[in-house]
Amino acid sequence: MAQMNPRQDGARKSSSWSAADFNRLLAIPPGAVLALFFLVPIFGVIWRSFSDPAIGLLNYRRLFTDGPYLQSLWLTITTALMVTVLCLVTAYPVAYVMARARTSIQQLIGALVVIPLWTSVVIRSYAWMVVFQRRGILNQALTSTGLVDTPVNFIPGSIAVYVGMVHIMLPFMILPLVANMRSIDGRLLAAAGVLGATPAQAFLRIFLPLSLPGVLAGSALVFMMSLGFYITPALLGGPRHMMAAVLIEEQANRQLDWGLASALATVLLVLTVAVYSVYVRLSNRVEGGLAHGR
Amino acid sequence: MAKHGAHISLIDVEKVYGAVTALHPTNLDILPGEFFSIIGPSGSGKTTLLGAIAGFTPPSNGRIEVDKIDIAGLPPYRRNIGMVFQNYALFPHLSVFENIAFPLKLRKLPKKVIAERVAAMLATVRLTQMADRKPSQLSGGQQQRVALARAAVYDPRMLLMDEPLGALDKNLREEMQNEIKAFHRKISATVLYVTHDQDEATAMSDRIAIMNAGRVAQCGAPRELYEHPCSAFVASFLGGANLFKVTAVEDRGSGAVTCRTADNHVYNAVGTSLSVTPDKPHVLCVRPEAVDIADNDNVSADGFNRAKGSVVDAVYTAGTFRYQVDIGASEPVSVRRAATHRTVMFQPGQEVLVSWPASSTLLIPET
Repeated sequence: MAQMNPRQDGARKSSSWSAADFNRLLAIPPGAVLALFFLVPIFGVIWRSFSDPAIGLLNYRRLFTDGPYLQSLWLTITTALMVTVLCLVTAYPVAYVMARARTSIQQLIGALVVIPLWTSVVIRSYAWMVVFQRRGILNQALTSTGLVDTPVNFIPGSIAVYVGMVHIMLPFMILPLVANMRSIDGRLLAAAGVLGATPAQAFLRIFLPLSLPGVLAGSALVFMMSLGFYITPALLGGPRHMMAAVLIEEQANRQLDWGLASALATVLLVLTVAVYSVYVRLSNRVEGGLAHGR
Repeated sequence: MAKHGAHISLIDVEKVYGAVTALHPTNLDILPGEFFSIIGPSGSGKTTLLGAIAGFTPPSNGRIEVDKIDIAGLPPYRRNIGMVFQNYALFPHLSVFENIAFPLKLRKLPKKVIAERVAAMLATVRLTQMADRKPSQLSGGQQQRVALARAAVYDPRMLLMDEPLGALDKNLREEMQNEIKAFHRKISATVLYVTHDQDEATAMSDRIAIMNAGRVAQCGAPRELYEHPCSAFVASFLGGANLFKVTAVEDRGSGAVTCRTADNHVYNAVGTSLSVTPDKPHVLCVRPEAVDIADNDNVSADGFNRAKGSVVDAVYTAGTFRYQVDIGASEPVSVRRAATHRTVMFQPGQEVLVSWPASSTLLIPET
């Protein structure tokens, strides 16, 4: 083509070059900010984990042999998993109703989902402290109905952490699910019905598999955010539910053990990248099977 | 394959949405094995009718009988109807094989039987090579054939098709028309075909119901509808029609009338003044191919209506001359002549004489 018509080809190239050039210019400021305030500190942390107090794998040896650190990492992963599963189970029906509702209802539910996002995580975590504290409304309800004799110590504890984290993470599960479910053609369910599928069969065989990209996106988002979550576990979990981010803060600010804190942060980072790459691979596979009419 | 097609009877089927009547009480009798089309402009109620039969929009009143059994109250999945959707509605996450096997799996047939029947169906629609592809990897015509196969693989005795060719380009449409006809002969199910394309319907159907404003305007064989339309709407919806508003009718007995038109022409026509009432406006309908066109001084035989005029437009399309002739009426007269034996084409501006047999001039109600 280029040889057959060199002049036109050249003209097209020069015009698209200037557009690309402009785009590149636009990308410089955010790129510089990211590099300066994100990449440089991250590499700093990674370097520190291998060099503080001495160059070598000392910090990692401590991290993977000393019980409490490994335990805390494991707790972080299981908590993130648990929160993800709880969020998915809670969010799926909400998203389903929202995606299939009339526009007005959809906007109402959408507002209810998004408004909590405008409230600070700190405030929402404190709100849960009020609910869960020794003389809070939950304990009052439990004791007055006679379910327990003495108030339960929810804080610090795992139940409070799960509830608080699920509450904060829910919108991040609901929104990707809704976006995906709204793209599912309702006529496919009608077609399944004519072909003999009961509404339950149509849901299980058609809607559910088609909603998998949304499930994957929401789960990956919630899981990765949960891995590094700090405020809620710090306020509601305390030493009884010590997640990695809380442990890092403690090592850095109280023990002043910056090397170990950096090693913990690096491990979290690697975990997150690993989860992300699994997500990308899975979603490629699912999307590959779904690409239709695009 | 189905032993015989279903006999479908719609009895006073009506659909009302609040204050809006989408479908006035409708009666239709669709015979076993028939290829029956429903055509009409959008909003005429044809989709509502189809939805009532498929079970998406239960009728407000009336019975839908399939072989004498009322199915109006059944959910779609209990009706055992095959349906081809406008955009095929193939399941994007399933392969061609799995799409066609879907209704069989729901019917809990043994795996071996499913494999055999899907394979047979794939062969019928010539897609055996494509069994493992996803719908997105097929062309429009291939997707169409998968949709056909999926709708027919469980031997439904009734097959609904909702604008199945709407998404295809013109050449492919004609090819698929033949394909669907051949498919229909093979499976011998009763086919109910909904389209807005009157050419498609006339080419494929045993009978057609033309719908307008929530009612069946007329129902009959394609030729019957074309040659004996019962209203100006039917006449102009199915093929071209010259329509002249009638202001006065004189009955000459035995089905012959003489009419004066709004443009002060007097024509002989077929019809009876008994059906003409002052509050119901009538028109004369003449098909373009019934009109002859000749040089001004030519005199045509008796029993013909004539008008002098001038050609305003002349078009040649594959074997046909199409003229628009101004005869002083509100609309020019459309003329369609075969171009095989006539070497000379009339040119715009030329003075001509148009004539058409009184026997091809129908006196019909405007609505």
